[in-house]
Amino acid sequence: MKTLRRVVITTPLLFVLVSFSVFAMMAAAPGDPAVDLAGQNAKPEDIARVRSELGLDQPLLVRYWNWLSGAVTGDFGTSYSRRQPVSELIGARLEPTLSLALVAIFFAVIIGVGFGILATVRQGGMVDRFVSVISSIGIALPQFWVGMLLVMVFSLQLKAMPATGYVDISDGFAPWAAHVILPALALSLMPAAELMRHVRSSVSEVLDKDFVLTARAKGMLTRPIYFKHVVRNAGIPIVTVLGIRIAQLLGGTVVIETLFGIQGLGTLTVDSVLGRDMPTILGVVALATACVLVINLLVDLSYRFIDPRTAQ
Amino acid sequence: MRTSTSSRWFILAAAGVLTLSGCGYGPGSVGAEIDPASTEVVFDPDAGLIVATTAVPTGFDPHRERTAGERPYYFPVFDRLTRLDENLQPTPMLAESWTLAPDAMSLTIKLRADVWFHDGDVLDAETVRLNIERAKSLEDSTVKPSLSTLTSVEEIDQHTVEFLFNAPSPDFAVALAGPVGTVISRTGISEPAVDLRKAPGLHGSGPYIVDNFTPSQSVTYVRAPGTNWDADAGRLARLEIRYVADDRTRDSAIRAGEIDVALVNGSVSQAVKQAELAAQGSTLRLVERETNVLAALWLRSDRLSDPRVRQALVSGIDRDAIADGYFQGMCASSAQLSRSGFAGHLEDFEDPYPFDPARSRELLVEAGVGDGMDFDLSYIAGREALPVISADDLARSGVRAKLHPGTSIEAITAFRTSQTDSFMFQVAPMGTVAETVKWIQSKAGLEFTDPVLADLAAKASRAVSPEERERSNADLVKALADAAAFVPICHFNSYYLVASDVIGFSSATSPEAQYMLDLRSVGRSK
Repeated sequence: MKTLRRVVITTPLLFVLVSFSVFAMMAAAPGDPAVDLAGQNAKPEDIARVRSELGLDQPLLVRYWNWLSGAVTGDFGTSYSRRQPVSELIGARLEPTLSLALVAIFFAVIIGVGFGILATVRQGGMVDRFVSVISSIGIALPQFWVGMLLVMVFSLQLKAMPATGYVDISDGFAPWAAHVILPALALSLMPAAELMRHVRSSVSEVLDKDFVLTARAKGMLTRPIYFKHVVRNAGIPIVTVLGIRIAQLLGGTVVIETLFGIQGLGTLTVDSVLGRDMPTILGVVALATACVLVINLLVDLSYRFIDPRTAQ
Repeated sequence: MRTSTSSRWFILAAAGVLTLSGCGYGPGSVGAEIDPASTEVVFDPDAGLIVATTAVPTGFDPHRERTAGERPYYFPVFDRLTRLDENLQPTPMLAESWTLAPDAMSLTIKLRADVWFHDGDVLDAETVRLNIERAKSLEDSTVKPSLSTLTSVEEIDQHTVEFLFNAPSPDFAVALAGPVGTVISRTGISEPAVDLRKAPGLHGSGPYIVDNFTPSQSVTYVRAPGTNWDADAGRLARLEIRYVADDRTRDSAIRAGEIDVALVNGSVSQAVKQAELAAQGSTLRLVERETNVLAALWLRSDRLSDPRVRQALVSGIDRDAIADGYFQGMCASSAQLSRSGFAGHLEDFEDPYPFDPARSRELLVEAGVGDGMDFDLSYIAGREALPVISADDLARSGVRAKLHPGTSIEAITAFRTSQTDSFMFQVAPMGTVAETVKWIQSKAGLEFTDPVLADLAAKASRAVSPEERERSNADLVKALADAAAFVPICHFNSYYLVASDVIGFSSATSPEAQYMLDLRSVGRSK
């Protein structure tokens, strides 16, 4: 209840803060969307007309207020360059990005938690050292480079996966999965590597606790000790890191979508920033802010399930 | 040092992955195109083709095109009165033939009598008149400047049209190969509900109709129903043109066989080298075409009003080094607007301001800016290489260049409105040098005003006899160079990676621009 109350209070505040920051930054950036939209042959009066039509001749605060009052009713305005409602544009691009992000999270959890636990079980051994090396590489390698490497190996050499594009899940699970696996893998490497490290250190710490020693002394088997007691107790730092990484994944899609030729929210953001399409940028920012807030809420709520003492 | 078995396996596996990823190409040779006219060629009528390019699909209205990048998307749908051949000279399309009056004050064109639009309308003189009137009268028409000398269009008979001019216009047939000469059906023009920017419907006479349009992403076409007037057109059942901005993504997609044609960025030598390698020993072939597109640094501002300052800037940039070094010979160094082999190029031309840093510095001293000068250069963001190299060269002459990136329209506007002294821009000469200079001086172009050049361009564009045209063109080319109005750098080539069973692709490329394509006659072999 306390968490929910906190979220209800902070969400609007955070939303206004983030959206206004982006609004002000875009307004301060060099360039004029009216010049772009008026076209190459526009006269100064044409540019002034476009500026007036878009409301760009109004003061910054008035423009922001107009946008915000529309946004709270679900109207994010119309894209300057595409002349389409922003909500429609975002709706059309949401599925690829969502697919990428969810599959990447799935990979990150499987790889990160799996290898992290494995490294703890085999502490000091070959597997531990291998995980340590892999996690260092995973953190150090840029996502676009990993993506290029995956394309070269799995698409161009082995011809096992498509190199570019996206297929809707409604067109079949197999083609959808084939198009999502490589970009999601590239996207998941860094969060997976970080998770490996956190899982290893958190689980190692819990393994030294008295209750683990007691469980062992009572003759409990290793597997139940790990899955019933250790992972659960090590869960809070792991879930915290995962929450932060999921939020960062959304940013990572910008590069990965471009590399894999996927028309998602990432490429929409890049195009909109280059074209100074303020309504679209703000629409995407609003969505990203909402996602981060929901993720944070879920992380907060998950603490209660992992460790009920946190509710007290 | 002792290495365990598992470590050795890990090292071997890592080496394997790296080797696999590094040796993507095998030896071989770049393939040759099948001649579409050959009797042995059998086209597959059910074949499809996917093309990835850098032009953005934003609409289909030729009279309201936002950029020339829309043309590859509406060319399969709408036909023009003329089309340009590989030397950028007009050849028949919907116009069967034409006659220019001896004084070039009128042009009479004979239309084909066998052309029907897919909505059932017939091509006739009235349709052409309505189209030209639309191009001239639309409030947001972007092609008005090309019709500046046109006073009226007369219907002589059902299939004959006469264009009347207020000044000699010997090159009007060239303009008719572009958006000005694009013909939309009467219904398409008159029906208020039709918005050609969003959907061209059945209002074209081209070999394809649009099946699906996703703005800023792709356009899918299907072969138009019935028999097209052009027997060589519409050889594919399906055609898709995709906008793929990233060079690496297009490269991956074609090498993975996901697309059939990919534009290779001819401004990046590494991309072209990669494409050459990809075409060796594979099922791909690299199609190369010389274009008349010139990369040039346009100069005009109060700070550059002294011609010696402009001359110093021209002498201060090593164009040969850029062409041979940075572009590794993939861009032809040039001192003229028009490339060798194209209309308007002078063979006996001597560069008045070759690269000479010492002379460049001397000229600046003579102009009273021996202590160096500030210099603002605008350019299109993402095309940093030439501005950066030029700025570096100019620094040796004491010129402190400040770079201003922007979108294409922002960069051109900054130059037009004198916010910057120069603009790094690719110019594709249209028809003749005179027409190009007129465009450069126009409000729709670079607004580069120079009364002497304007007079010479007007004279050259009105010249009718071949001798007079040649002489006035030579005068204009020399005057343009003497005025040091721009630093000519080099002419680009266009490059495409194409699947080997694609036929007739060379004819689809154009010297007008690297991205310009007319895919009407492209097909695939069985």
